[in-house]
Amino acid sequence: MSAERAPQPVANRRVLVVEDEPELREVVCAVLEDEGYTVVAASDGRQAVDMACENVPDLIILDMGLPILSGEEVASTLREKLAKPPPILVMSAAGTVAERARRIGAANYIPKPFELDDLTDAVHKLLD
Amino acid sequence: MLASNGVSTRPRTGITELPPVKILLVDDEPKNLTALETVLAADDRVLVRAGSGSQALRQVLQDDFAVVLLDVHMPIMDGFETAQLIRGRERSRETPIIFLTAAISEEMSIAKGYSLGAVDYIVKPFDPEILRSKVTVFIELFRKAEQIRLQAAELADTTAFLHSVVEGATAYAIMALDLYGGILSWNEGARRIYSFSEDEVVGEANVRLLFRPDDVAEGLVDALLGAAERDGRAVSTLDGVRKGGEVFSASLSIEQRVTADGTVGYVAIGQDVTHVRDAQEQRARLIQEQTARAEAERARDRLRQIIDVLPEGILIAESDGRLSMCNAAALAILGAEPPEDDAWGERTLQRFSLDGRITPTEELPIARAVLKGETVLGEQLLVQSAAANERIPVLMNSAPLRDPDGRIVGGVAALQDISPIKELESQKDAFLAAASHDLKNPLAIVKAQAQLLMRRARRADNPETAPLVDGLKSIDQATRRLAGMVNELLDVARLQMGRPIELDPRPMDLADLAQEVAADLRLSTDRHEITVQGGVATLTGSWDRERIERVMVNLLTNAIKYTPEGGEVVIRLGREQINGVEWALVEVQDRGIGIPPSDIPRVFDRFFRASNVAGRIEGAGIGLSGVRQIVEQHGGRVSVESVENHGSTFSVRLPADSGVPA
Repeated sequence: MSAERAPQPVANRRVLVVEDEPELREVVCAVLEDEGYTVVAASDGRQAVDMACENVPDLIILDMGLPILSGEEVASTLREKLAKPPPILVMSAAGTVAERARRIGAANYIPKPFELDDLTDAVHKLLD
Repeated sequence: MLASNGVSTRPRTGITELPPVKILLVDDEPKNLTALETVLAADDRVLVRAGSGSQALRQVLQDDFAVVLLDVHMPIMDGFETAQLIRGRERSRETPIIFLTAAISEEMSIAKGYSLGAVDYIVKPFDPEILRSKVTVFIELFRKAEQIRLQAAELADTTAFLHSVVEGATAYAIMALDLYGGILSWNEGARRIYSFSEDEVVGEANVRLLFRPDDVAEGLVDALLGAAERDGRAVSTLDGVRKGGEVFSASLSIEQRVTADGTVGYVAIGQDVTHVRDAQEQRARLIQEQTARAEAERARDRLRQIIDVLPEGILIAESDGRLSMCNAAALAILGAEPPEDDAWGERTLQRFSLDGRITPTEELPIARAVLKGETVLGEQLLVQSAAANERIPVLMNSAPLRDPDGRIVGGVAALQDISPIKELESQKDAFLAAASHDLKNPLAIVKAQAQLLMRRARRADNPETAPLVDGLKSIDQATRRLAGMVNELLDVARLQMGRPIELDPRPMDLADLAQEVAADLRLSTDRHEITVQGGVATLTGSWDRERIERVMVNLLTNAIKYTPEGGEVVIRLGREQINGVEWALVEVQDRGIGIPPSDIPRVFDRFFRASNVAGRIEGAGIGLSGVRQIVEQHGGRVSVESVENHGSTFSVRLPADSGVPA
């Protein structure tokens, strides 16, 4: 595990975490905040779209099974609304996570449950 | 008497009115002639006068006379000379002559007269009564002779007629036989039927010539003649034999024949009945065919009734592709009766497709059965229903139909509507997806929380938190195991349904994994010695580690399970290069009970369990079908070599370089 390293000077990087499961949302946010990122969170697809359009994040961590708008719908809506949509890291419990990530043009994916190292490594790669 | 067609007509019978009888009176004395005329004149006769011998000769040349009354004493040519000349003529050779003489002068002249054929003498002057009665005798005689002659002519006519009838009956062999079967007569029909000429058989051959030698040897012809003698008539259906030996279907009727003089024999009438028999045979064939057709129709009706109660749809195709039978269940699936004239079932079969794409008819199982003789089992198809706008998933089994000689005469397809199964499968899919989501989300929370707390505790670097970190590590590991189990459960469920699983290929080392798996499984047995061989330090590629681990665990647990007495189990690692492609090879070898040869081709099939373990050894996990699916989804291959009671070696080959494209 490489969790020992100090927070990176990445406070200016904004990550939008979209996850309907509150406890999971909170722990992901905590992990990323520990890593020094600026983290905002949404609990459903509609809210995610609104927040992303209002203030475009550098990365969206997107669950697929969301209320109101699904992960897929969030991705396609953002592609329509934003000239330069941010990269998406798909985070899903579905067995077909890789396939779904490919379909929506996600930058990467992590299946649930995940190692924190895998999450932080993926985020670092996309933002650093 | 011959009619224009060459067959003589029947002669008229009965004696017709006879012409008047002529009597020649010869005398040089006219008053004597007149006296004779006076005495002999009557309606039934004509009296012809001759005044001299030479006149008499002219008359007998012209006419037939019942009697000649001839005066002996005539000038120039006397009665004797005249009689000699009359007798010398052919026509009058038999004509009776009565000499008339004035006196019987001497013995010599009487003797001379008789020697010249005289039948009588009458001495002048004659007694009219005596003369009349003597002449009457000759008239009667002449009339009798004439009658006999006419009868003889008539008889000859009748004989000729009968002969013409016999000869004209050319469709019948008519022959007279003696008591021993010797052939006495032979008609045209006999010649045509048996090809022998009259000369060859009449008086030469026996009727036995006309039968097959073995029939004759068996005494069948003797029996026939015996029956004709005993019963008066016998009919034979023995084969006939023509000149040259050709055998044909004959019918021969033999009747006993007794002639006027009491001679006993037979008359035989034969016929070539080849055409009759042919016609009979043809008729019998026709009846047989009709019966067979009716029988087939009944069988078909019965079959139809039977297949109509089957829950599976049945389609029967003829060799020309026409769908000739379709049961009720098939109709329900198709939604409409196949058209009668639908050769190759185009309009029906076009509604079937593989994977929803348009499928050429000849690729459909039933067409493959008819055209190539293939037996196709368990092909999944979609059918566009004619009745409803829906596609019905079906499972089609097809096999060719063959005649007793093994020629393909059609094909049969059994259709099972698997909509309910598909429905269950999709429900199971939905359930699995939900279960997956519902199980994995809490796991993800526990795991993330544990790891977050570990991170924070480590950063705090406080000795008091060390036990906390250990506890969290334990939670984390248990969660990892739990996640692995959930994933395996989901994989098993998908693999058992034959569904693809989603691979997550990452760079990994098979040698590492093999050591790990071997170490884990050593803990599960103390009777087996598990070794990793092959001298390959690393064996890297891009594979789904979790799934490949599942494959290795499965092969190893099988090896352990099927070596119940314990013993060596070897994992052998290696590399292979085939056609420039680098392959990683993993072999798992045991010395256990092995697999029966007949089961080897099927061990990787879903739901298959080898016959020597069914019911004895518990099956679990992803099974060999799951092993194969995982390996094939990686672009690899599995194979097995096994000798029953000596052990098995399973081989897994994976593309070593790139694995599957992500």
